[in-house]
Amino acid sequence: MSSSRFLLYACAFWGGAVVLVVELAAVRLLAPWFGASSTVWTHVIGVILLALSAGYALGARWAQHQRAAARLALALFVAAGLVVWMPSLARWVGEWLMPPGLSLDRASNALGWGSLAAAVLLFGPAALLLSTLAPIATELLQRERGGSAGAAGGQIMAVGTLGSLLGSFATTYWLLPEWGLSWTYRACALVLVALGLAMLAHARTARSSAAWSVLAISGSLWATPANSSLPAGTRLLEAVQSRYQAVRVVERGADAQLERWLQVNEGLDSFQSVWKATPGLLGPGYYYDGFALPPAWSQRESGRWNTLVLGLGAGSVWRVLQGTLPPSMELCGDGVEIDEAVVELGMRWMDLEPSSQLRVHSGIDARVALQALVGPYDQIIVDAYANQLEIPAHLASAEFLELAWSRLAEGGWLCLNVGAFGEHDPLLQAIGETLAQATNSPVLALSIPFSRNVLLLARRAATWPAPGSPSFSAIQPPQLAAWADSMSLAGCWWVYQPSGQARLSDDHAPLEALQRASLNFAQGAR
Amino acid sequence: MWVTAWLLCALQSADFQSVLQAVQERRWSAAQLALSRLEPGLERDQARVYLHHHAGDLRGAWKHAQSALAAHPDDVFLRGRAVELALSLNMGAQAQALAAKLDPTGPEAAGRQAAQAAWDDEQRYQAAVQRARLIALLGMGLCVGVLFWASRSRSR
Repeated sequence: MSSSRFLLYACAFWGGAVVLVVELAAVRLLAPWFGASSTVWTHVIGVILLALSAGYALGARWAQHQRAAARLALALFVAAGLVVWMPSLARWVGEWLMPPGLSLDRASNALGWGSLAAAVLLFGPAALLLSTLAPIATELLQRERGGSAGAAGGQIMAVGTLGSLLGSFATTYWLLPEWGLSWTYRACALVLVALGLAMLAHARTARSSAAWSVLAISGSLWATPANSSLPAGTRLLEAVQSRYQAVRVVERGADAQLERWLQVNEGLDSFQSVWKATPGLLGPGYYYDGFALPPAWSQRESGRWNTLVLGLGAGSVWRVLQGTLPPSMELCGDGVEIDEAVVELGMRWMDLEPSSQLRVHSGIDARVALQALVGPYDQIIVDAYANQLEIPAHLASAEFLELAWSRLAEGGWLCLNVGAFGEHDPLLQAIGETLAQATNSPVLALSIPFSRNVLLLARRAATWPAPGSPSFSAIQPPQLAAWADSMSLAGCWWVYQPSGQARLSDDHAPLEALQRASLNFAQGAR
Repeated sequence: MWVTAWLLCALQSADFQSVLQAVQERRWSAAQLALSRLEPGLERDQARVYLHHHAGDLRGAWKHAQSALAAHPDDVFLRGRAVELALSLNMGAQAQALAAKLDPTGPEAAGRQAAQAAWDDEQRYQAAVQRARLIALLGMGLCVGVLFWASRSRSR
């Protein structure tokens, strides 16, 4: 193989790899401001596909040029300059398009349009230039060795796709976990510059663009990595990039008021786990306290309370239960958290202490874990969210809920936390009715005071206490009793009865559409 | 806070005072019971909004406040409470509209300022969305333009 032919294959290979690295890391880059929801993924992929399409057409035109090799080198250098600055520009673009201080329910429009605009600004130009490489390389290959255009194009596409394959695996398993975002993009830029220089030597032209490119990369070494700003009054304790998301622990207050939040991605005004120095009830606005109601209503004074928490986070639920169970009762069970980094941060900052009694299963999907964990449990808590606000479809289907129901002991409780905006929220209705149908039992919905969370409760082979009845609020500790009493007000609770068909199934669970409808409902309800 | 103080000082019925007392003691069922004894009218509307607001049922309280304000648009307590609820629910536009009718020299001036700040945030948010929409559409339009321009040139 001649050196120029090798160089063309290298351009195709590394061009394909860099496009995939940029694409996969793009959502991480945007996540501090816009999250990593399926909406953001769709926008990033859509913009990059549009840019690729335009770039292929542009590359086809440039390929007809006499000095096509010089164009190829130019595209490599300019793309390198764009790629290397992406992490720094992301901060500026994110703060420009996403005003700070927005609540999650107010942010839907800004998240949608903002992420689309950010993808256009940050990734569109580089993707467009990188996609010009393939047609130019195809043309140069055919010019050099003759033969059919189809053969040259097919070989370039094959090599480019192999590069994309490498880029996709390397990004998730190696580049982002080992190097982080900034150095991943810098590495991509360096590869592009190296290819550009090689092409430059081959084409003997475009030296000024090479100089600019090297200057851009050098300048980026002093640029700061992207991160969303912290809310006023909070301190950052630790931030990591996990396999799934950006995770950070922040702290606010002092002494008795000290509390820590574990936040993922954009954060906004939401949290994945909360820690206070003393185990027990967290106080107004925290839905975790609601998970202390089933053991209190069960009126058991001793023995073991066996729990399964699907979506353990950093273990907030267990700390609430540890502080509210009667002293003679022992908390035990299993906690499942898909993101290992969340568990590690929980152990470092939020007193999560796995033991033989409280077993933590990290790095495993909740549904997969449920297949293996047979119980029987006194309480199963489903608190699994993806990308901050999305309930994973496979954790809301009738099949999943039936499986969880089968893992309960007699008199056991199935508890779901749903972020929703009242009784008529379409997302909540779908999940509540599905739960009622899957368990063939009435489901109690409790609107958590001072929050946008609703707790869904179903009980196997027993009934839950009726809101307003003495048994509903005659519980210990007293703070929990008062809290339960506040939820017995008219409009703060309602019931889903089993009737008709389950609305969400493995075959059809339009959670994304329901989530959008929920946010629209919240705005319309105003 | 000022609303609570005003309310407690106001001359109200015994049942109304019972609602307030139960709310302060966090006896929510008792408060609900006392509320049910009140005759329909302004006093009952005020007590219901107060009860649901303090119990943390913000959306419920907001709905009650809206319907009560429709019947009693000049009631300062209901309006002040509605402003607070709108602010708690991140509804800057509604808070600002409600607060505009509050006396700027009265004790509710703080509510007006908070509502104005929330309204400013709302404006900032709307501007950001418009900016993003413009950029997204322009950028994608530019890409489509390049696509057609490059394709047409090649076919000549």
